Amino acid sequence: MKTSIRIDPYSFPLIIVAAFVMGLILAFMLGFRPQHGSSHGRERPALETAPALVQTVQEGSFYDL
Amino acid sequence: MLIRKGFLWSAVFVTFLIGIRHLFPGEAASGGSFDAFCPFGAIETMWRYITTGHTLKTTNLLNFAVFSGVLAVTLVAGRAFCGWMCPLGAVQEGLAKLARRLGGEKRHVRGKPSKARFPASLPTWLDRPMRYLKYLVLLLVILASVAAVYPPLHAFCPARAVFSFHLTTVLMWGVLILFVASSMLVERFSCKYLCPLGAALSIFNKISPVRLTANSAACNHCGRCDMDCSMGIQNVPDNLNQAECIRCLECLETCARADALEIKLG
Repeated sequence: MKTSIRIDPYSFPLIIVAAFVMGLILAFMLGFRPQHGSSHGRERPALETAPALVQTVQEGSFYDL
Repeated sequence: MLIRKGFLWSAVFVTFLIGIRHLFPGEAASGGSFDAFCPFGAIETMWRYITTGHTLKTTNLLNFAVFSGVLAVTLVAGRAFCGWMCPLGAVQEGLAKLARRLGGEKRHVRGKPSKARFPASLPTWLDRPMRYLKYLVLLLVILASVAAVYPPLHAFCPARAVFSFHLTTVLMWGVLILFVASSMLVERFSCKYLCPLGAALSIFNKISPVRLTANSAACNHCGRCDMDCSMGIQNVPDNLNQAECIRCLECLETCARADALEIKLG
């Protein structure tokens, strides 16, 4: 049987804000941060470096990363 | 709902600050462009980023962060971003209110038809097919983004026209005038028929865990909710979670029957 929990309409804005902030923080943690100026020498987002990291771990060449 | 208005106008204020900061000299004027704060910019630059690792001009990784926030809201509560956080939605609601005032309505009474002629609703035969226009816009933008240098909507984005204070082209002025006029003639015209971000988010209305439910035993089908729905959804209690619903909760607010409409998790 499907159960559902009733939500107070006044809690709805809090749910929205919490979801937005969590999404934003998650993105920041993955490396999607605001950028300023030239992109040269900047940290690359974790999602972008993840495949390279996995590959180097598999090859055992950590120091090439 | 007063809280919702507060949310919407806070979003307007924040977007206004983002737009105005480029007018000031010094550090405040540096940083990402106006486009870099747009959640839809992430969709526009997605293909380029996946295939080349670079973003389109005027966008950057911040677009993905903002989009991630919007996506989180949508995964939890459907198109609530459109109803609660979109600055363009707020401006459209404000313009609709202004149109009502100019049309002779001093104060809108909940659940009662407006005395003003505008904002009007399009006839059903025109409204129905035009609702699909936003999906077409989304598809065209995604296709155009494959070969784009700038975001495809960069030249005629209504958010840039309203908030960027950078109306350097005739096209931008045209977009601004059309946006203002259409919002005063038809409530949330852009949301209903044109917004590609709304089209992308609407897909999640069916699957989001936080959803509106109608209690058919308590509902007497008085039609108050239909009258107060800014998205023009007809027969609201039977169409609560359809793609057009922006979860503004105006139907819940206007409903005179206890427990006829509820918001639930699961």
